[in-house]
Amino acid sequence: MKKKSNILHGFIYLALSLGLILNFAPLAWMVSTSLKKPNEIFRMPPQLIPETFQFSNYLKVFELVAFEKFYINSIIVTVLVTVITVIITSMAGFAFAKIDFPGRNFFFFLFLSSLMIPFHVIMVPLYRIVVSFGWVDTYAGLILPQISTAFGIFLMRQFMYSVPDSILEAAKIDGSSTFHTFRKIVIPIQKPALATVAIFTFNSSWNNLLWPLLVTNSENMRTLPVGLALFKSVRNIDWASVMAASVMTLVPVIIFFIFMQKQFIRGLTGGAVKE
Amino acid sequence: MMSFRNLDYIGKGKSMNKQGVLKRARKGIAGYLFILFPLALLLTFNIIPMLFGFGMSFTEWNGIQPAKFIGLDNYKKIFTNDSVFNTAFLNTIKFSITSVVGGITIAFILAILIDRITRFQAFFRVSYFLPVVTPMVVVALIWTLIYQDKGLLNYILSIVGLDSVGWLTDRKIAMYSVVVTSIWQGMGFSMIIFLAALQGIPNHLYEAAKMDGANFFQQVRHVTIPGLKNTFAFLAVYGTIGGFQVFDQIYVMTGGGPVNSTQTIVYWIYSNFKQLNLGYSSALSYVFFMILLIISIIQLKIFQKNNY
Repeated sequence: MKKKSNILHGFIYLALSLGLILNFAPLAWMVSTSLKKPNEIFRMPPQLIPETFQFSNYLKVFELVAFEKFYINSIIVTVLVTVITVIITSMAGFAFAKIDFPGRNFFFFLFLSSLMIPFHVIMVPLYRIVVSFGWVDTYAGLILPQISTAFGIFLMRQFMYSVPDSILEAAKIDGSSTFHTFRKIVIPIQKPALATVAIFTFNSSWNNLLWPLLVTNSENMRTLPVGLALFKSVRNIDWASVMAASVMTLVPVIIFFIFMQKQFIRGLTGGAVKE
Repeated sequence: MMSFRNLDYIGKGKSMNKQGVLKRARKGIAGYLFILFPLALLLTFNIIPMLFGFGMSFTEWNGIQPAKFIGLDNYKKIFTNDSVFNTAFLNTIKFSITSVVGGITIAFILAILIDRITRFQAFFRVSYFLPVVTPMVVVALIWTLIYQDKGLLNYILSIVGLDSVGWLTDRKIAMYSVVVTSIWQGMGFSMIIFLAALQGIPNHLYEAAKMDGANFFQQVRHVTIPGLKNTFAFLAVYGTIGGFQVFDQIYVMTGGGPVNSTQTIVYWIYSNFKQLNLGYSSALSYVFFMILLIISIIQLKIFQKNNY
């Protein structure tokens, strides 16, 4: 019996390891190609380890396109979208969970029903509205429409229910204002909730292609996904540079991911895993 | 009136006492302030576009000249006179079904395998999740490279002695190439959901099955799969709705081609928008919304039936 289960385990480890090779192969191929000389890229048979490491491919990316601009734009947009989203969804989530005011259920329902409207359904009129604000090619146009709060509010509200009423009452008796209570008492005990919403928002904003594609015309305002996608459409595509640019886009995400695996996995599946 | 009860602005359920609405509003003023900013964003960037788009869908408008009201013509055209929409609709269904079935199957197999092992469990979980955090544009670019005529995949075929395949240029194949890419990117997500759900299956069911002499596959068949029924349903619906919104991969890998063989609904909305058919693309958006709504209603029915 024991032996049989050992054999089974052996097979499982073997299958999972083979799967892992397939899982990592595309990423390995990306890194490998990013370091190759042009004549090596489609050489037969393909080589995983380049003859010499062409780190200059990475520098070339910055010559071909305004990559440093894309990078800065992506950082500005992602950070602001994330920070604003976390602040306002935590406040709204707290209000919906813990403050009694007329119309509360109605407003919550309003937010909730907006979850039913995917971005793709409203993108065309949304673009026209942003045009009428004069926000094309601006950070405001990139950032504000990307802040979708419904999911975050829904999640935060669930978390906020766990804050004991007694603490809030005690703070109130001590003369603390609602905002002060929120900031000094609620926020410190809700850090996991904030992290969940932050990571979810960070990831979708960093990866967002469609909205920045619509709302930016000038190269200087592009974010990384848009810059990368249009990079490819250039004739005589230079695959080594494209892959080098891809690596540079992926690296910040991977670093975050490695240091915060648990929060990442919880953040990206937060709405889905029922606990 | 100085009792503790009235000190509290806190209340979980409905207001419990007979205070007037005004008094409650005054006490709950912080509530309004706390939701003010997201509410403003919701109005400006969700609700108003939704209404505006509805109006636009009855017009012919290129965004420069004044919009012309044309009644239901856009909708008529979508259903009777737009063969590309037809193709896009069918392609979108094809994409959703194949990517959902393929993705869930692989994710399920990975999950039950990882669930069985004791060492390196975390390592495998994290490794298989890695593509999920990879930006779709990056994923699409990598796979475009792999799918090139002289790319990695055709080389592998040549080793086995097979002819090269036009992964992204053959119209019978291009959509499936995009599907494979999408499965690779998304399966880690489903795997994590499965792994979480697997914790919920009571161990004694497995013990009982073992007692009856059930082997590994029989246990999976008779204990695991029935136990994960709701998870399968959830992932199928979630994946289908996500699949219907496919855009990034198409934009980067094929641009809807060759000959519309990878044209999808969202890509067709985008193309019309780019050609400044704003009224028409709004009508397409509304049809798209209705399609998603129908899927959501089916979802609700499935979940209700399963007491989810």
